Amino acid sequence: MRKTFGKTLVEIAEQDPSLVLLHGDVEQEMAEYRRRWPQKFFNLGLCEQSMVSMSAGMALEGLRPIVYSITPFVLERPFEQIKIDIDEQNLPVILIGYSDYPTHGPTHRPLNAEITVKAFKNVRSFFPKNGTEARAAMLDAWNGRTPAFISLKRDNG
Amino acid sequence: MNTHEIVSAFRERARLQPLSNRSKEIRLQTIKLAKPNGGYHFGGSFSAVEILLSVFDDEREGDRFIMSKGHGCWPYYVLLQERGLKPILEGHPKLDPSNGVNFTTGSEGHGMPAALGMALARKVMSRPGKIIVLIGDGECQEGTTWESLLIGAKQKLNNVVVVIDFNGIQGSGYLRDILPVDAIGPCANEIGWDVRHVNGHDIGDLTNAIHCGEMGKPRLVVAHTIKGKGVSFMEDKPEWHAKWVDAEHEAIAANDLRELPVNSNEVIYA
Repeated sequence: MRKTFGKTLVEIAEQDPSLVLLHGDVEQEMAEYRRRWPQKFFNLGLCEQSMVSMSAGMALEGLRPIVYSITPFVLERPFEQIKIDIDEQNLPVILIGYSDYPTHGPTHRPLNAEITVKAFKNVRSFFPKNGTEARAAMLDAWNGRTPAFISLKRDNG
Repeated sequence: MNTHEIVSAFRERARLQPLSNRSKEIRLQTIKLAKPNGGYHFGGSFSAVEILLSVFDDEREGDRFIMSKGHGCWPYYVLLQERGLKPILEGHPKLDPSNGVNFTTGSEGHGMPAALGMALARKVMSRPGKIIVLIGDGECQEGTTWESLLIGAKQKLNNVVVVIDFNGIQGSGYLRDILPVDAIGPCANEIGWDVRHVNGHDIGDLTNAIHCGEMGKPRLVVAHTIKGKGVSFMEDKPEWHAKWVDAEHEAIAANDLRELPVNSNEVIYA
């Protein structure tokens, strides 16, 4: 699913120059995007709350940020930033979280992302089960121009 | 001078700074606008008036402003209304760009990283103009303020100006007793920001620091102010962070803020 994410990222970026990628030092399957659009690729370090607020600021200037990290760090840690800056302001920021770490302990597992994301008013959520669904989710979220959260899991896609 | 001496010296200047008739009028209008709309954060509103006047009256083309210390919104609304805009009159600003409100604020620590995001977007798109954000000194306790200092320097955002309304008081008391942030100036300087200390009630100083000079680095303007500035019973009093102004208080405030004849030599040291 992460490979599909990387390919779909490139697919969207080829068609839409407004895409920018922010990540919280979780560089997964982004090499091709990074090589081709280095000026729109930002590893902001371990500052997830600021990263989400920044993505809102970028959206208000007309860019379309995709924000990537491990699910608890992109959904739970910056919960209030999502609530106010993304959801309340209804900005087209796509949050993408990866979590499939059965042996990594409680820090790397979300509580229950499907329930958490339902707390928001405007954030559409996607829980694809394979690569095909992951690509469809990214395109759907992109074309929908609303706040969105996409959950990625481990599979071979 | 060490940090303590810098803060003390600028606070003294801020305390002695006389206010212009325009500054007084904005404060009077602030009370008039806030009261019927349920507003009562006057201390932090009045410390910010000259900063807002500098941002608004000396605005440069392409500038965008975020009022991150959202509780000080009432003089901000007064200035927006002066321009014929109609911001939503609630106790904290809600996003409404067509009426001059560029970000929803009120929860501390959101406006500065949002401003950085706007500034970074302008870099990506090669767009001119600068982003100005006003934060409180209490807000400097938020982790995102320090994250933003690191990111602003790393991303070389020489199109962002962060102004701190450094009035020394937060919700429950003095920062010096709760959690001091005086170190933010030297830390920001070390991280790679252009740090300027100013008398936060002197429009000339503020305009110079906010709008003028070549921007080689992200800029941090530490505006030393007096909470409740201009109203005798509010000045430097933590209780006036948030307190209802009754009719008696309003009358005293109106007297404190009475306008002087234009050619008057009288100077009131608040």
